[in-house]
Amino acid sequence: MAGEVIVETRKLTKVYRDFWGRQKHTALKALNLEIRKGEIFGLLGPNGSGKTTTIKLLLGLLFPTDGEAFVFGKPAADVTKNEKIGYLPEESYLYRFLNAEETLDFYGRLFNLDAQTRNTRARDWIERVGLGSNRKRILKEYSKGMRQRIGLAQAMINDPDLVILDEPTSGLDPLGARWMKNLIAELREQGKTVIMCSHRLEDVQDICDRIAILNQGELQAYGDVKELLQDVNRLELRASGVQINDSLRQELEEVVKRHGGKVDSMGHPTTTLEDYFLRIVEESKAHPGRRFIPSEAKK
Amino acid sequence: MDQTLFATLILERDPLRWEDVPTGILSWIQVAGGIAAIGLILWTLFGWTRMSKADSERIPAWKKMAFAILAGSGLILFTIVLGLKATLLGQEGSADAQRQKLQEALQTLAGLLSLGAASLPLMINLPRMSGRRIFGLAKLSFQEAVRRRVVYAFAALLLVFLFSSWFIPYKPEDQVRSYVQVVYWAMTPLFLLTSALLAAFSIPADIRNQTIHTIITKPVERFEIVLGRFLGFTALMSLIMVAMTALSLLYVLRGVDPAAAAESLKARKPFYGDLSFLNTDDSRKGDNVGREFEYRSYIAGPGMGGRGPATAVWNFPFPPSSLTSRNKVRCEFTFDIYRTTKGRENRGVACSFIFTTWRFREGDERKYEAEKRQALQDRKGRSDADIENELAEKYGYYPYPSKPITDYHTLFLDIPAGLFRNALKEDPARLNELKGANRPINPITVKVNCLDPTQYVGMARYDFYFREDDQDSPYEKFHFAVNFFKGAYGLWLRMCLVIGLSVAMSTYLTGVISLLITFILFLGGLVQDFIQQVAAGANPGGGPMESLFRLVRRENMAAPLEQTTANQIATNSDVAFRWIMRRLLDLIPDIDRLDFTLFVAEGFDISSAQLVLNSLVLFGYLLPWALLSYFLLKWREIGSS
Repeated sequence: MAGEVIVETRKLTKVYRDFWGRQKHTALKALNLEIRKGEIFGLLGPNGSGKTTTIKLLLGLLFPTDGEAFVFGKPAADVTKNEKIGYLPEESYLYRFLNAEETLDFYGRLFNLDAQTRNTRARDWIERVGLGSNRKRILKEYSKGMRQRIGLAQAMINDPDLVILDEPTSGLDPLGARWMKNLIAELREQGKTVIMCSHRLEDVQDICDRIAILNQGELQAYGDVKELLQDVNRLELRASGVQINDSLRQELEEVVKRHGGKVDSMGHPTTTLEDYFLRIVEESKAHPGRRFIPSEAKK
Repeated sequence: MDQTLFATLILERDPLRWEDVPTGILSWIQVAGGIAAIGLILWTLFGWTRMSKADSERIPAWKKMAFAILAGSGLILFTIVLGLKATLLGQEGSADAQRQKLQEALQTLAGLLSLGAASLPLMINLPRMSGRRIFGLAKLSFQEAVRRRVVYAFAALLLVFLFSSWFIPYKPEDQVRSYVQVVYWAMTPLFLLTSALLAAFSIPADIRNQTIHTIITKPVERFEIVLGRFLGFTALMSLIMVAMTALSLLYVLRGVDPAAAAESLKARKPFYGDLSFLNTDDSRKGDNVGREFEYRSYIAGPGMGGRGPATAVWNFPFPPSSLTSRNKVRCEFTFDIYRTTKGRENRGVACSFIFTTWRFREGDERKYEAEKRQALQDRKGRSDADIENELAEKYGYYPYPSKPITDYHTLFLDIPAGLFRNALKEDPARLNELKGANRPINPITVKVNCLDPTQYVGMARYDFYFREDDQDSPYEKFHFAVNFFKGAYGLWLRMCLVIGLSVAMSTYLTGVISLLITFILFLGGLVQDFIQQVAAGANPGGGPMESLFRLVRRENMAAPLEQTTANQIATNSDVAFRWIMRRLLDLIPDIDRLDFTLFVAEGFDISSAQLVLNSLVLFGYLLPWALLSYFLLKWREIGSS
C-alpha cells in the first residue's frame, strides 16, 4: 500500500527496569512498523503483548530503551507532533468533576484553539457523540459508554490527522460499538489515519485495512487484513435464489472433484449476532409495544 | 495622654532594604549556581552517559555548543574557586582579601554560567509555552479544588470568630494585639495545610488516575502543567484569602472596644536610625545586665561603671521632607528597665534626650538656652511650641531634659518640626567644615542618658523611631485596615511557598512524601536561626558528636572539653556535619521574613519595600525548585507510573 508514512518505528524496544537498573521485563522487542496515511491500522495481541506499550511510546508517555519512533516524521518525544494527534485511552481517563462542555473546552485550550473554535467544535462533537441532552452533567454521573463517547469527542476536538484509539468499543453497547465503527470508517473517508488496539477481533476485521499481531513484545504477523486472513486452500461460493438439495450437492461435488478438491460443508450462511441484535433493536423501534413471547416462539 | 499602649516591634534581624538587592542577587547566583553545578555533574554522570546516539544526534549543534561552553566553563571556574578557597583557609591579610574578592567574583561568574547551562533547555522551551494552555490548566486546578469542596475547610475559621473572644483579654492595651494574632494564627495553619494538601496530591493523583495521559498527549509542555497547577491553586486560595482577611478585619474592628481602637488601630510609619553607644566597652553594645534575651543592651545611670555617663546614640539619615511641613514630629520609644534598687514607688526611671542636627555646633546649646529664656519672657504672641520650633530650626538643637521611662509601655515625645527643617537646609560652609575636620555627617542625632544613679535602661536599634505618618490623622483606622491586608500578604507569600514546593516535589514524588518534605522544609525555615547557629558552631554544647559525648559523660555543655583523642575526633566530625548543615541551609526557605503578623499586631506599617523585596526573595527561592520540577517532570516516564 503506497502513501505517506505517518508512523514509523525502527527496532523500537522497551525494557522495564527496577530501581537498580536491572532488567525486569521486556515489553517490546525491536518493533519495526510503518503506518501510512489514510489507513486504519489494528494492533492486536493478548494481554501484555505490547500493544499499549507501543501506543504509549508513540505518544511520548514512555521513552524507548532502544530504537526509534517517529510520528509525522518527528521523534515521538517531540510534543509538537501531538498537535495533529487525537488519543482515546483504553479507559476514558477524564476529569470527572467537569461536565461535557467544560471537558471539551479544557482539551480545546490545550490545543491552543481560540474560544470560538472551541465552542463550535465542542457543540458539534457533543451532538455527534449523542450527548446533547447531557452536556451539563458532570462526567462522574455518566455511564461507561457515555464516558467513552465524550472521550472520543476530546480526541477529535483538534480535528486530528492521526487518531489513536485504545479499545475504542470498550464499554459500548452493540449500538454504540456499531456507531463507533461507522465513525472510524468515516474518518478513513476523510483521509485520516487511525491506529486502534482492540480485543474484539470482529471489530478489527470489520474496519481495519492492515494489522500487526504482537505476542510477548514481538511482532508475529503484519500486513493487509484480507491477505492475512485469506485461506488459499479453501474456496467460498455464495449464491442466492437456490435451495440446497441432493442434485445441487451432487453436481457441485462433482465440479469440485474435477478440479482436485472436495466439498467440506455446504449450508445456508448465518448472519453475525451483532447484525441480528441490531436488526431486532431497529425493528423494536419501528414497532413499539411488540414483545417477544417464548410460548409463541415454540408454536 | 502621656503613654500609649506597649507597642514593641522586636526586629532581631534588619528588614530588607533596597540597598541589599545587589548583594542578595550575587549571593543568590552563587548559591543557586552551586546547586546547578551539582545538578550538571549528576546529569553528566547519569544522564548524558545513558543518552542514545540517535537522541544525541538529534540535538542541534548550536544547542550542544552553547550547553558545553556554559556548563564546561562554569564547572572549571567552580573548580578554581574551590582551589582558591582551600588556599585561603586560615589565612588573613590584604593580599588574601584581594584573593577573596577574586574568589567571590569567580564564584558569581561560575554560578551564572552553571545556571545558564542548567536552565538552557527550559529557556529554549519557554517560547513554546502558551498562556492559553497554562490558563486552561490553572482553571482546571481551580475547578477541581472548588468542586471537591475545599472551600468548606475554611468554615473552621468561624469557630475562631465565634469563640475566640471568650479567651482574648479585655485589657484595652492588649486587645488589638491579641485579636490580630489570634486571627492570623488561625488563618495560617488553615491556609498552609489546605494549600499543601491540594498542591501535593494533585499531580500524583493525575498520574495515578491516568488523567494526565490525556494532557501529556496534547501539545503541552510538561512545565505548563507545573505552572498551571501552581497558578490555579494560588488563584483559588488567593480569592479565599481576600474574603477571609476581610471577614477577619471586620471581626477585629467590631471586637475591640473603643478605647483599644483609639489606642491601637494604627499603622505607624517608623523612621529608624542606627544605634551606637558612648562610654561602654563596645561602641555597638551597651552593658550586659545578664538578661537571657540579649536583644537589648543597657546604659547605666550616672556614677555606675566608673566611666563617663553611658549614652545611647541614634544617628538618623536625612529625614523625608514631608516631616518639615508640620509643627511637631512624634518620636516613640520602648525601653526596658533593669533595676538594681527598688527606686521610687510609682515613678519611672528618668532619661534625658538631646536632639541635634548635623548643622548644630558645639557650644550653641548655651545660646539656645539663653535665647529660649529671652523668648519665653518676650513672647510676642508666640506659644511655647512656636518658640521651640523657631529655636530648633535656628540651632538644630532640641533638648528634653527628663522623661520618666516606664517598663512595658511605648512612650513618646513631640519634637519641634523645626529641627527637621534645620537638618534639610543646605549649608555648604558647615558641610565643608565637617569634611575638613574629617567628622561624620549625621543628619539627626539623638542622645539618651539614664538619669537615675542606680538603674539601667535597655534599648535596641528599633526601640526608638520618628513617626513619618501623622499621629493625629483621622484616617488611622483606614491605615490599620490597609496594613491588615498587607499582613495577609505575608501569609499569601508563605502560601505561595508551600504551593510551589508541594507542586515541585509532586512532579516526582508521591503526594504523601511531597507533603512531608514540604513540611520539613517549612519547619526548617521556622527554626532557621537555630540551624544557622548549629552550622556556624555557635550553639552551646557543640555539634551532634560533641553533644553526644557530653551527654554520655554527663559533662556540662558550657565547660570546655578536655583535649583527648576521642574528643578531637568528635569535634572534627562535627566540622563535617556543620559543612553539611551549611549546604542544607541553602535549601531552607526564610519563613521568618514572610511573617508580618507582628507589624500588624503592634501597629507598625509594613513598607512597600518590604513587600516587594520579600516577594523577590520568595521568587528567588522558588526559581531553582521550578527548574528542578521542569526536569523531573520532563524526564519522568508518565506512562510507566
